[in-house]
Amino acid sequence: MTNMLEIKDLHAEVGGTEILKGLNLTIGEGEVHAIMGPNGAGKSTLSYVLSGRDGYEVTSGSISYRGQDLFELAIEERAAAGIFLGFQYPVELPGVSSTTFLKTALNAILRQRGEDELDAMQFMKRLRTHTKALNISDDMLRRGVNVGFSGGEKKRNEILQMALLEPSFAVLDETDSGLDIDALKVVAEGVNALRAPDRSILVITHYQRLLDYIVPDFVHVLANGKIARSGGKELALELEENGYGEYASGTSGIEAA
Amino acid sequence: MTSENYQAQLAENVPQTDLPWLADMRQGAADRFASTGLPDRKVEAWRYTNLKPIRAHLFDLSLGQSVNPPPALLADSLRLVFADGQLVSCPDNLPAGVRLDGMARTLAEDPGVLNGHLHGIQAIRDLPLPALNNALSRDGYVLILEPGVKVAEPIEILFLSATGATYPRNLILAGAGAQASIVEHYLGTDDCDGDYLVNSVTEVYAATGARLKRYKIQQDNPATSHIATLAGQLAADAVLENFDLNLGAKLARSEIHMALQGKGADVSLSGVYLLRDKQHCDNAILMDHVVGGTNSHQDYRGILDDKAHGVFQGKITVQPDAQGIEGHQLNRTLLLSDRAEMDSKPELEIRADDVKCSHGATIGELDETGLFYLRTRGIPEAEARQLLMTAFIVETLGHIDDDAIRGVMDALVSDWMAA
Ligand SMILES: Nc1ncnc2c1ncn2[C@@H]1O[C@H](COP(=O)(O)OP(=O)(O)OP(=O)(O)O)[C@@H](O)[C@H]1O
Ligand SMILES: [Mg+2]
Repeated sequence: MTNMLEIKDLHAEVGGTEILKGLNLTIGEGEVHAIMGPNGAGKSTLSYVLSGRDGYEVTSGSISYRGQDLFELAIEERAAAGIFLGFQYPVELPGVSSTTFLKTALNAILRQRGEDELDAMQFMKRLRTHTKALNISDDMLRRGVNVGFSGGEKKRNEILQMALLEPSFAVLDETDSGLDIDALKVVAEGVNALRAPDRSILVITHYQRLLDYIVPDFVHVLANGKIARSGGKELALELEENGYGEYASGTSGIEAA
Repeated sequence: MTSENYQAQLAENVPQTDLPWLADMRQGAADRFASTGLPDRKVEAWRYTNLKPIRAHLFDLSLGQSVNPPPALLADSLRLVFADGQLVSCPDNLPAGVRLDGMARTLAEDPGVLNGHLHGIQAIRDLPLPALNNALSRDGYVLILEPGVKVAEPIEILFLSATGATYPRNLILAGAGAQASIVEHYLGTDDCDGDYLVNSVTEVYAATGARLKRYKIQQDNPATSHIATLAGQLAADAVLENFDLNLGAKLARSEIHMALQGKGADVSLSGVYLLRDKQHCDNAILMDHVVGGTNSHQDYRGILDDKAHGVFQGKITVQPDAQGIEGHQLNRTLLLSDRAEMDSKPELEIRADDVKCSHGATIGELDETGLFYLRTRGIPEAEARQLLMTAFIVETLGHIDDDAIRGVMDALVSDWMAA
């Protein structure tokens, strides 16, 4: 069976500084992995490299996505191939209405996959089922994308996009931060609804609490640009207890209690 | 060109008339132009726009030619068509209380209705380009609305150009409480290398409580020069909404002079300029709050690609003791290329104390983070750029409250973006 994702000895630079320094990670189909790690460790950098952001330069190593060289795909092609990134800081797009944005995105992906696009009616019907489940108001949909949304609303909006686009591989970068406990449950339900034998999920988080709701198969510690340790879900509990002290690289990293 | 040269050229080209007042007016305008010539860049109002390219074309008067006009932009409009400056078609069934006709025919058949109004707006009388227009103009449209008349159909005026210099002279006289929507469409013929000059003047008189909406679409050929002056006078409670879509011409200048002369008068000027290659577009506005209790809004946004050059000069003047004024002005420009250039100069001149005025100008680039975000959702780069460009001007387009006209503008805008 081909793995969903295989990252081998990945080195990546941002603004001339090496951030990822030989990262290895394999995610199998149907698996949920969690990455934890100190601030500045390179977690978001990894998510941007996966989605192909400009300025995140891969200097060596490889990433294969379902057996395909990921670096051969443009940003939008990765999305069409089923990769989704839930942003740590969702971007505000004043003047782009949420509904237009969601419809354009879904149809762009369907088109690239050679499937039929949805008309306005079909789209609205599909959208409604998700907005209801995620408790997203019509008023939010009428506004510009993420414009004037609270922190928690922005995160719920990321999950809405994920639910609508039905990716095969979702990276959720701190989707739990800024959420109240009810919203956290709503978001976790959204993520769990997506779990399937042919889908994989990578959650990046600072809090073990999320992992009570989205139970991971594996937990990794990313520190100093590498996977410093991997384990089962009990690793998250241990990290909560002890912090990242033993992985700290001097400047970044939370001190152990 | 020297003043004598202008004198000679003008003497040859000013149209003859038997009407003494018209002859005097044309001669006066010709003399004014001859004494100043074209403004150069030492004149503050022309600081950013070089008129040299039009000099050679000024007296190359177009004789008009037969053309097949394209279909109307709007269904069921009252439509006038001018080809190279001369009226070629005019609606025959007009609603009661509406006069809509060519300027030349009106001057020939019923000149009295124009006397005192034609070239009557003080603010532009002495300006060189309107004066030249006044001296040389052969035609244009006249719209006269009797008091209380509300025209249901939009009025659509097409100025189709292919060659030479044309000087359209337009006049709108709206009686008390009258209402109408007017679309002025300047269009080049399909022959894309047509190099011509349009120097138009539109004068608007809005009597008490009149409500006018005017939309100008400038789609002249890419090698041409388009100079337009709009001058308006508003009485108490009169409302004018003007929207300018600038797409065409190599050199474009839209100059607007508004005088709010009666309490409750309200002017909203908005515009979108979309430029590429070496296009130049200059929007120059003078908003004069003559009396208190008047409001004005300006919202101009544009997108500049390649080596395009945009200019916005907007001035709000509040006359002494004109209290209770609101005047707002906003200009925002998106630069798609680092060789594109924008000069934005908002200005306030306030001589009263109870005023609420604001002005702002921003010049920015396309949001790379936004572009990335859209692309991670599967939206191809070109489409993502178009979404962000549309988002940039959508608020300004939002000032158009007529669905049919908005549809026309949206289509033109998205054609530009897709090109
Ligand atoms: N444009 C840039 N130029 C230089 N360094 C950068 C740039 N962008 C990010 N970095 C650095 O890269 C490192 C990794 O950042 P990243 O955002 O990946 O961390 P993170 O693990 O997601 O942290 P957090 O938990 O705070 O979200 C940080 O030290 C950051 O300062
Ligand atoms: Mg991060």
